[in-house]
Amino acid sequence: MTGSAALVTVLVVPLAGAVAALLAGRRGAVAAGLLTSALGVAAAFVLAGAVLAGGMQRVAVGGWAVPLGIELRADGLAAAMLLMTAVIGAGIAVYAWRYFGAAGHHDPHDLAAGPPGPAGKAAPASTQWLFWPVWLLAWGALNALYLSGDLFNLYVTLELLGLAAVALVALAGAGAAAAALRYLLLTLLGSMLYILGVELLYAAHQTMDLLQLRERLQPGLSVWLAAALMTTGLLVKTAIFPLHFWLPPAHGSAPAPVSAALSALVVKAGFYLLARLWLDLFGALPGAGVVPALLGALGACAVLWGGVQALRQTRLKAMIAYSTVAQLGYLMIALLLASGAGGAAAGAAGGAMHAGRDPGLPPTGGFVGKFALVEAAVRAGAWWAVAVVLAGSLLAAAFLFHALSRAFADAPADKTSAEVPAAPQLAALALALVAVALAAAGEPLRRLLTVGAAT
Amino acid sequence: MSLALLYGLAGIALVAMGLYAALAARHVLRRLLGLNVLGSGVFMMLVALASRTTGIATRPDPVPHAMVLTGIVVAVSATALGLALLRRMHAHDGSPRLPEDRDAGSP
Repeated sequence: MTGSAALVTVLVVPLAGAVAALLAGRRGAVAAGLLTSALGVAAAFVLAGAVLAGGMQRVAVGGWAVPLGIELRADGLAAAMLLMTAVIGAGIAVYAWRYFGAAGHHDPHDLAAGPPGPAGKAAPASTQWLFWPVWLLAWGALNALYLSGDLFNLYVTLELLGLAAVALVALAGAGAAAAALRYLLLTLLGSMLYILGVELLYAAHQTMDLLQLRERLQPGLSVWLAAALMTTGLLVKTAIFPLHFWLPPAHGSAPAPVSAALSALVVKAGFYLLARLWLDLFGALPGAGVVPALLGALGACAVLWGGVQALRQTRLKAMIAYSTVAQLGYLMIALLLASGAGGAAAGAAGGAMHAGRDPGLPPTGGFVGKFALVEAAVRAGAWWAVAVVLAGSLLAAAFLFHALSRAFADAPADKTSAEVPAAPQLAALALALVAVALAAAGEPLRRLLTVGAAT
Repeated sequence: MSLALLYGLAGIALVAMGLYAALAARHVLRRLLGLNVLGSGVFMMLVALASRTTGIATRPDPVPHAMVLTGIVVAVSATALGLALLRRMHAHDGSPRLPEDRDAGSP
């Protein structure tokens, strides 16, 4: 398979799988979902191999060249993100297969013995299979987002992802409608701010294509206004600290596989776009260093605030939701370090992304990524970042041990461990092994990330 | 004042009105309508900047027009999802407002 064929396959497999899962109905959706996951992982590996061997892969959709047409591109960062998403997505699929498979089960992740939260009841069994088409649609939207080479196509994929994510939240049942609605309103507002910025850039430069824009970008008031609008819109979508308030209710009320997908993948899409914009596009503007510094400061606040709030939660899913807020803070710190140190730190940003990918659960604790982050911070002499990361890790350790102690000490006698099916545990174990393997496979991954990097 | 400038200014006014409604309103239907007005303003600005009266090309730039069409499709889908969720929330909670807005009596 050639690189461009692999690129198209990566895009088509999840979308075709979503349609197939919808047509297959309640009985066939699981099989369609698992088959799609396997195919998607294989396609992502082929594409990553092609990028590693042959550099950036491009497909001009419909044969129309830029700037009139839309070009799909896979550089190193995009290939790495596709690969991560496919592997994590496969883990989520295996987990969901067992989670939704066991009818009328008890959510094994709600540690609190008290009454469930406002939407704590499991989704009605008759609509649970809809997880498969909606999740595959979200995965397809993520892949399209990573591969998009122009700003307007990115807007379309962001909207597609946002709508699929809102539908995932709403799957928890009527009680989650308010959380889903709040998420929808904010994600639409974020998209509108983003598209306003895109419009200003187009008015000034007559192109939406990222590579062409990078060459033509003229510093000026309209570019700064565009950058501010797009960044604000993406900060809302990524739930970065002062704009994070929508995330805990939306994630906390969702079924466990859904909150895993949202925490590990969906919110990271906004971060990926922020990184692309500030490392690739706006990074060349004079005085642009201020913005990553500001984002890094927000990230530091997010790490500390998210950690403290996580410690105060009594439900595990609410705790994970706040730990996601903190994880996103680490990513913003990594963005700052990457913008300061140039290409050498791109690997660190990638490393920290893996930390984010791990939803902050044992046994890995996102250790690999955090280690890379601290290493980069020491090398850049950013001691405040080292202090924040260490303080955040301390908080994370505190809330994890808090949760684990409950799991071991307070387990009532009737809640036997047999309630937890084997596959979710295997999926979690496999993901943990992947995170450990990343430490070993760091070198090829670093090489992959440098393909097509701007600096 | 050229027609394109008029469209652009009207677009800016719509964006401001829509943004205010989306942020300040408490009834979710009003917020959804505000977002739609905001979207219409964005699209009008796109249409305005597509017009070309100077230089070699006098016909409008087709790329922003294509973007407006795509944007309308996206906005319709998002509004449909929002309305469906609003109906569901109203049926379940008995209120057309988000939980944090349910105490006072303003619109």
